[in-house]
Amino acid sequence: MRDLAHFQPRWMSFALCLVAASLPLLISQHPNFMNLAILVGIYYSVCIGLSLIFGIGGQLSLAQAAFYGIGAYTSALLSTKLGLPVFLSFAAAAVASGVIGWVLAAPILRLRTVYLAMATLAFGEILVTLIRENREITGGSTGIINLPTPTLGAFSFDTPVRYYYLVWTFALLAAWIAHNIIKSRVGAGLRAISDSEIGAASCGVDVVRYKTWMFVLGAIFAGVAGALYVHYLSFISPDSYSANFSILMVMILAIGGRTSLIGAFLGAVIVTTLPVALAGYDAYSPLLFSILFLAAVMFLPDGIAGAARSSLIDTGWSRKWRSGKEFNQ
Amino acid sequence: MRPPTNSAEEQPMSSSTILQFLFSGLTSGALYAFVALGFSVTYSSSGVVNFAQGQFVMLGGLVAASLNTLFDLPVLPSMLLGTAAAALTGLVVGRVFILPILKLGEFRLILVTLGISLFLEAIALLIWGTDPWALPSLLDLEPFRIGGASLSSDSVLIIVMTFTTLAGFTAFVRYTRWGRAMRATSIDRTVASSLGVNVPLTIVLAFVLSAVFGGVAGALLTPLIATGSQVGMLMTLKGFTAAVLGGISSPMGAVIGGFLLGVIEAFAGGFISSAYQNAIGLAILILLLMFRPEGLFTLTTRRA
Repeated sequence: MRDLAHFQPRWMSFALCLVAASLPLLISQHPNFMNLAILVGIYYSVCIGLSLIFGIGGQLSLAQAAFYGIGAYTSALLSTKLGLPVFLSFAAAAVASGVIGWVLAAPILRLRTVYLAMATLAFGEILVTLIRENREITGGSTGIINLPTPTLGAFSFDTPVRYYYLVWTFALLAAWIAHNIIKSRVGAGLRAISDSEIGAASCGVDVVRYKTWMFVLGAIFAGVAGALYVHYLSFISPDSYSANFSILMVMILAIGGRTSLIGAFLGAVIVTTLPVALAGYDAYSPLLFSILFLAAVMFLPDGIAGAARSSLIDTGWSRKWRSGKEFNQ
Repeated sequence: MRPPTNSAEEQPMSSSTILQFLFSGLTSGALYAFVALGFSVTYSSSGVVNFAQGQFVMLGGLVAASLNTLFDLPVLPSMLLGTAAAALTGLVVGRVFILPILKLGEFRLILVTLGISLFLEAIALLIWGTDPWALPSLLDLEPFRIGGASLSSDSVLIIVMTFTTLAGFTAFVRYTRWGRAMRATSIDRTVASSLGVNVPLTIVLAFVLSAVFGGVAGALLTPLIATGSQVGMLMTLKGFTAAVLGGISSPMGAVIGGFLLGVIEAFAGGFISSAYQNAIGLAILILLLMFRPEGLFTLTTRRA
């Protein structure tokens, strides 16, 4: 089934890969730009997971910061306290966030709409408290410093350019997996769930299983992204895992466009570069983000990507098709 | 919320210590009750769970505190103007943001209220910065000594105000024209509209009322705990927990839920660990949503 609302031309994926691969040629001399490009890759990975459950499935999960933190702390602790090779601790981060996501999914995904949002928000805040208070394990508010750099045999990812390729390999892998899910029956099922859970269930969609596995996959992507980020900084502290991060991810998807992977990418670029572009006025960036977010949810339900798609690519026929139904309710 | 009164943590558990926990629990409970009441009003009239509810507390407190600190306004006028500022914000939120998109469906509505919440927080951050602002005591009486525990006059005031507000609101809903319109809207918007109720106006009124509740709570709280620009989201979570605890569609339930949550948190903080006080309140929310989402005291079923 090819749903026109989620149609994505193939050349765009190729273009994205090509840009991602060649970007360091242009900007490797500018450490600030490299840093931004790595950050975009990290945020993009977290948002890809969120776009499945929230963007396509219509479930407002604000637990993304929690899984990002679980992955980050799992990897940081295993690589420093047990001296595990960093790539193994990355794998452990994926497993830990995935398992916790799976355990959490059973009770929490029965909740809908605002109840789900509040419960996932509460889960994240509880987790931050646990990290802060268990000082002997996590280092409390000061965190852990000197996290090791990932190495593969004799090759060490110790320069920003190398780390950039590591992060973007993972981001594009996650995007590829998500892309295939969106195209498959599961993606169609998720869109049905977003329209009406009861309707989807009566058409044979296994609502609980679909929601659970998308939630788990989102947790894994966020967990690995979190681990990648702290080993890039070589430092971890609980401040980055509060509700604000989860909300920032929702903002990225709402601004960029929550039903497409290109939208997640656009949103990640906007949210990371805007504070830098504002230069001396970056104190205003929370205000600007909230205005963009409000404008997007009120006027552009499918974000910038959706608006661009409907004005550039749509044929008259598809516009007629879409005007028949309220979009993504 | 940390207990605002000086807790006697070092002493052995005596009746006075327990009484002290109870007092601080009732004080923060009064605050939660106000926020929960706000949730209840907007939810029953418009079906919207307003993510920005906690930001009204922040606005009421910060406007009152800054009027008093910067312009030397006496405490009572500062508090009233703080509440008025919250009410005005509630009017704008209801009229400009909620009304036009009310028919767009629950999902978009939640995101819009989340956006409003972020917008208010971002503005407050620019105006007031991250430091908390304090307000002097309104009554400025000696703390009451009851059974070895002390209860400040500000605590008594906020607790008394909670019950006064509940009584006033109940009377308003029961006996006035506007209250009847509100009840009709909460039962069935379409039928109410066909019987001549001005539904949009009623919904805006509900948002103003909910903002007043939040603003009053923030203004009354600031003498006890200094208010910072970032307390809103936690207030939203706590108030929502209280509302779910008591049953979100009943004002009485919201107030009971508020006090219950405050007391549970204070005792959990006192007996287990004060560091986990907030986390315990939030764990209650998760457990409650899992096992009894319709509230502890409600017999009716939840709206689908």
